[in-house]
Amino acid sequence: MTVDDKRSKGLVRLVSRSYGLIKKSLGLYGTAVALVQLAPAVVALLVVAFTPSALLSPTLRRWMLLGALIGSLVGMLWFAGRAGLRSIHVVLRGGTILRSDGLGRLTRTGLVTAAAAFGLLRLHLALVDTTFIEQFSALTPVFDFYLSGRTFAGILFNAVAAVLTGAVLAGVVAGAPAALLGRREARRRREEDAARKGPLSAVEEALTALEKATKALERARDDLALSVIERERDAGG
Amino acid sequence: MKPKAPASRRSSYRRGSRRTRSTYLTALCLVVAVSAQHVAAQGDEATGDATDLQVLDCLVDRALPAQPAVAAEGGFAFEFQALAGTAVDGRSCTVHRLRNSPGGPPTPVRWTAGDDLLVDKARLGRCGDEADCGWVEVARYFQGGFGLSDSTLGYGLNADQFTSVTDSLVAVTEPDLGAITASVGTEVDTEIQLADGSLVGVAFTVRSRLRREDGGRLTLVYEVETTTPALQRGGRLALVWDAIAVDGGVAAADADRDVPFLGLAQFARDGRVDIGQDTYAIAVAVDALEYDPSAVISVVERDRPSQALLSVPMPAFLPER
Repeated sequence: MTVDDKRSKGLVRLVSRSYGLIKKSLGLYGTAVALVQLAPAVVALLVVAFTPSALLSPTLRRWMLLGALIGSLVGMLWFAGRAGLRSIHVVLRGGTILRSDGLGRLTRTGLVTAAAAFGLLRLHLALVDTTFIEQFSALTPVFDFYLSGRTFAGILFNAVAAVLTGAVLAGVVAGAPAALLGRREARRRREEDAARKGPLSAVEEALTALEKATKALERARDDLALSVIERERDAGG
Repeated sequence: MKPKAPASRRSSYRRGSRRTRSTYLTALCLVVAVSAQHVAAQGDEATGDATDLQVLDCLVDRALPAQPAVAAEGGFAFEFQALAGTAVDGRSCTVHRLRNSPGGPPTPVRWTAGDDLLVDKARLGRCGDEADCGWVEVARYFQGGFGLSDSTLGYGLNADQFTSVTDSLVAVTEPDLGAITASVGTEVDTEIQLADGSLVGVAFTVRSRLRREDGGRLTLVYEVETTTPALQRGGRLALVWDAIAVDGGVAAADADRDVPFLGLAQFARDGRVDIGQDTYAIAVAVDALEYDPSAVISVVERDRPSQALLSVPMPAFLPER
């Protein structure tokens, strides 16, 4: 291989790599532009999701406030029960209680309940939204029922909204502190483990991590070498 | 700096200025006249004086607004208008009327003026076209006058999802309690949708009257006049008049189906009943009376007396408590 050949191959490789980079960056740019264009729609959807027109009714807001208060209370009791309030005397005596499993379950149940209830609440509030009903005309009888002006229909709509609001609040009030407490306990457990194993345990953990990183780098180096050989073979052929 | 015009031209300007001034004056007069006419027209539009309209038994002198206004928000749209004038019997009258727009969704509406109820309609039903969209008309006949007042139209979910604040004409009732006779009344003409979805045309007039007979004997009369079969003997509809009812008529769901008034208070139960062709009246002899200007009457289904389909003001003369 002459010096000119080497030079030209280097140039081709450079051009090829530049082209690849430009293509990649253009792809990224295109994705970014598409995402930016979608942003207003996403914001609008969020606004619509969180400000249903039904909330303009003061009567409904009063019902939902009542539901929120009761739901918060239920959530507090739920959390207190799972967080080991009944075993508080053990903690006060300086002991520890095992509750990480319970807190994990409470986090999952609480937050899933809150998310599901929020979705249902939003759908429920949409049932009296004229724009929504125009899009889903099959739900017109439900709309007509709730807006019949009858006392029973009004109470039913408000009560369902209050119950769902209560479920959202109960889930959040129980689930969110459970998640935080669970994390704190996990961290404390790690610290306790570290303390039990002594000061060398941290060095050992670091060495293990370093070993893993070294192996990963070796694998990357091998892959790179293989790809260079293949490219040169393709260029030569 | 502008050069001065020559003297000859300046004089011609002066000569011309007389003509110009008179032209300007004429134009000014025209502008003033047109503006005055426009303002007057706007005033008419806002207050709607002197119309030839008769709604129910009310000969309309004033309409507010002159043409029915539209309350439209959140996909709901309906028309409303307040009227006032002189009843055919010479007393004062007001009319409040509402109707859904063609294609509009069912709309619960509550129209109030301060603490006073004007009309509370469980729902303005769907209607296909202009001819199909009938008015809910509530006329009041009384001694007194009428005035301007702020009013609030609440509509949509719970009848308070959206509100429209508007000026309205409201009744100022001033019955002469010392007279030989006095009367206040409310007339309603509308269509009502029952729980089973059926539509019923409802027209009735309710009156509260006082009568002083020879010897000074005082009698109070509570009367309903209707040709609507649903409100007559054995009909599906009934009236709950809070002035003469107890428990809002709720406890009286299985009461006598021939009586148009539900849940009558004891004093009304003790009264003498006069039944005519299209009238049902209860006459109560009393020693002294008082006047309740804020009483309300509601149309209900006999089987669901707690669910008012329509509520309107219906003042009453009552025995003094």
